[in-house]
Amino acid sequence: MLRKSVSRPASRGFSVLKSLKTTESPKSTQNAKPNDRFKPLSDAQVAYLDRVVRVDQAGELGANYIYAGQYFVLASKYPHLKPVLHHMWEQEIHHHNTFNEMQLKRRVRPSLITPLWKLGAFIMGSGTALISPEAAMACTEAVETVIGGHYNDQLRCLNNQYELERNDGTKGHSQELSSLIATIKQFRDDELEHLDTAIEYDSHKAVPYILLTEGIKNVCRVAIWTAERV
Amino acid sequence: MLALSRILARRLYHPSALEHQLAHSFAPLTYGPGSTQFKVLEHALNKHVPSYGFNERALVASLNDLDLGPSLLSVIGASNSPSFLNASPAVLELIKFHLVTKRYALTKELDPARTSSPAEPPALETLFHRRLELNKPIAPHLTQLLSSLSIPGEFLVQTALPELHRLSDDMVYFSKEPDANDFAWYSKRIALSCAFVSSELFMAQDRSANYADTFEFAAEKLHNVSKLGQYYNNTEEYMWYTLLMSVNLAKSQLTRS
Amino acid sequence: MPETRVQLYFLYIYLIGTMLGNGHSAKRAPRTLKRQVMGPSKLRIVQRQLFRALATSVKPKKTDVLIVGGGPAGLTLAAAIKTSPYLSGLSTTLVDAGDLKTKVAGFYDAPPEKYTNRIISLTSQSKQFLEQRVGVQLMEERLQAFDGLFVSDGCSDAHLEMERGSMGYMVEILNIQSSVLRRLSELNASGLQLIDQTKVEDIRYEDPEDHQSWPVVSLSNGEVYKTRLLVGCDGFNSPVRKFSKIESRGWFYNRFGVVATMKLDYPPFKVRGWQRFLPTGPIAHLPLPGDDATLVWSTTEPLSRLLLSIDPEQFVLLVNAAFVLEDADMQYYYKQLEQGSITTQELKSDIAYRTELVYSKLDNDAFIDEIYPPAVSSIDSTSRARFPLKLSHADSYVADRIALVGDAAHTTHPLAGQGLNMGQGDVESLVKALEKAYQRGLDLGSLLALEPYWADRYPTNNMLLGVVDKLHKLYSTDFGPIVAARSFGLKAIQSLGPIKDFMMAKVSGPSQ
Repeated sequence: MLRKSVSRPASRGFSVLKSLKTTESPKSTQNAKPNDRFKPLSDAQVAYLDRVVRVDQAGELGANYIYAGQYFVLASKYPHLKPVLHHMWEQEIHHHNTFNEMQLKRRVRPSLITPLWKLGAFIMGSGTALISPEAAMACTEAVETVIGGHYNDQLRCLNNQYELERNDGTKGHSQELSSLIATIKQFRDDELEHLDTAIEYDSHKAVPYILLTEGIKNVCRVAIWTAERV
Repeated sequence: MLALSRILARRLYHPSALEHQLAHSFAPLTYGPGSTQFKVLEHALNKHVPSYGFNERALVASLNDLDLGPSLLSVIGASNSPSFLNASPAVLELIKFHLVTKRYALTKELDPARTSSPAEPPALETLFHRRLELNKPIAPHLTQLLSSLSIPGEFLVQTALPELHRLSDDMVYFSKEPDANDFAWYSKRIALSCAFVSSELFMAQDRSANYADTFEFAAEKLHNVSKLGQYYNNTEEYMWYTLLMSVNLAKSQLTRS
Repeated sequence: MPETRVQLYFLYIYLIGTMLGNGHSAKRAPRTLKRQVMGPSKLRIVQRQLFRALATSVKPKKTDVLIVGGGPAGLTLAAAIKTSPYLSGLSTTLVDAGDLKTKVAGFYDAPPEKYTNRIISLTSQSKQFLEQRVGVQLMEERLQAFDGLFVSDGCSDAHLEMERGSMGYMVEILNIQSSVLRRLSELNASGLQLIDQTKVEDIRYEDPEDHQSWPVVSLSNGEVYKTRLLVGCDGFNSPVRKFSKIESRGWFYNRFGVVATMKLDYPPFKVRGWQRFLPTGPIAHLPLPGDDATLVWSTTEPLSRLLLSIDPEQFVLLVNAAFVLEDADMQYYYKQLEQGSITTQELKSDIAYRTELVYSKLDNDAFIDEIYPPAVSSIDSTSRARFPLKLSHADSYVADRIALVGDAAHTTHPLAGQGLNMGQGDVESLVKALEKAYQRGLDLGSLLALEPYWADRYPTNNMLLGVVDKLHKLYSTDFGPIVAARSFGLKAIQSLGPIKDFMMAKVSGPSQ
């Protein structure tokens, strides 16, 4: 979002005005007969999905702004890192947009403190990048470790707890849930790829490595806990 | 802040209604259009509230119309409508019924879950206008309604505010108004809710023909909401710009040696 | 050693194969062969280079400086390099998509009778740079010096009168361009090449992996240039900036500037500029020689469309009214005109009546000429045009072998008339940086040579962009308390000489 800075008036600058209106189109699933429909989700299931979308959206927002910060600081000084960072950032933008879209479509409230996530993530990204490119990579490593693990937890829960019953008695995942699971899987793989990239680009050479990664991991865990709830 | 998020949190994940059945078709009402309770309340709201207002007389009159004994009055107050002070649970349920069914009526033609051929999303102004139109029959009793809604207590927190938020949320979701993915999501809904409540307050006092003044007032209020949104976005944009430009400025000066 | 020879051999086959065969079969065969010899990635690089060389089938010409864009900034830069005691030896190439050599250059010898509508204000500083440093002789009879600016607030009676000798000059952009072209042809400098009616099709680094290698620029006329330094003077949507991957940040104002050239009732008694801040945007009335004047009216998008579509006579009436009447009156007229529910005659008499009302409140009729601009009698209706207003600023002006100048690096709201002058300032600073680098024997395309230019210009431009943006924000509201505060501020400045002088110095350079 920070990237396409000056663009057409319709989608302005950094702003959040971009229209992502996606009311459900009946066409895709219109042929679902009443009998194919699934019985209602339980309150607990709905509440968990609510948290999943919110926390993932906030997480990808954070990732987007972390890379924005890194790119902003590193791009001019280290041209050789530019394509690497740019590639990872593009992916995060895609992730962020996907969850933004899902948040609107499934009518989940976003995290209340998005301004804080934006600023915090940008500072984290640019701050570590200011220490050194290796520190930026260590930051990436730490963040992606936590996010990858968190996605795995979600996948486990979605696979175990969402075996739904249809009206005709058969069981299975609804399209909506399977596509959510597929999305999360895909994103987890992307994040783990970023993790490998970070290590390849000398994240372990960052000084002070342990302090940085452990500190950032803890920050991420607290942020996840908060974003699920607030 | 927490209380706010708790009120807002009542609007949870919406699974696709085309794939998943809904637990209740008029959530948060726990009874469907087939139930006696629904029929009585609907009848009362359409037939007797316009003349009697939101009170037990309207309910008793419709119980009589439907050949149900007045003793049923105590059953109508569903267990999920707690009373406060000495307001009758049945009347509170009637108010809740009014809020919920009017909200659903607003989006009947727009919600793909309830109609096979949803209409094009209208402008936010149109929906807002339409919701006020739906108030016309009960407009003389709006003062009474609003005062019942605003008495501090459980009803306010459990029903009145969440229902107001759901209304704003529906209006944004089903109109072609661009929605937000961040804090603006909240500010938009809160501003819209405020605009709606003040329009209803205005309507309660409005004596102009066909409530023309109310609709003018509402349009003005809505215009302010969109202006507020612009200010919000411009401010955020401006702050990012300033932050980044300050860093650029520092970087440019650091090249001097 | 034998391996290299094998590689060369296959390359040779490959080359011939590609040249002879235009089908895929010819290409595919050697590719599979070669893959066994070289790694796939190496192969790809070789292929890419080959394809490029073959596609263009030209050997890149070398040049020291390649300037993309022949606007005032690009042309001035070329002339400033050629007139520099240190840099004149540099081979310089300028590429522009427009018709510079005949159409623009021809303006100097055979200017049209009417004024063109692209008119800007040139500060004394910029003019001095052009004339004394670059040796350009502007067409004096087509520019107008003005020695004051009268700024007023559309929501209150606050105003600010700035006055001093040679505050600035209103000049047609074509005047500047053609004068600089004239200077270039007089110089007849060796090593300068103007390529017009040609677009830049592709830019890439000679070695895509090495960002310090020379950029290779392919042109639409088939020529390919390899340049030590690539300068982007190519405007807001700068392809050079996109190639450099330097981000530019900012926003659209959702406002449009409407321009027109106007005829006045009589030549003005005081030659000065008039600007009134309406809530929809500032309107400026600026002098040209004799009884001509030019207009820049910044306004909302729907209003700009309205202003372009209405009858020229109605347009003239609105321009005159906008400097005198209140915003509520103007809004009323806009609405009536939009609905087409008012005739020109009605508009005329209504405006005349209200204007008379305003005049009658003045203590002395002599004030009319003091605080309101001379009345417009007609406009050149073909000169009406509009353009979107925006703010943008690049993160940096320089990268390896790249410099951005003028609108490619920054664009601004026209309310202070600074756009072109900022570009001229950039040119001056860039040339100084290059001269210094030349004296020190640096590679002119290196960051070390270019960074002083960025360091020098960034703060100035950032400040100007910020001030203009804040002025726009401050005046685009009719919110009571803000109007009161800004009116107070304007009155305070009006009554405090030193602050006024300081501000004027900031905007139009130190007084002479």
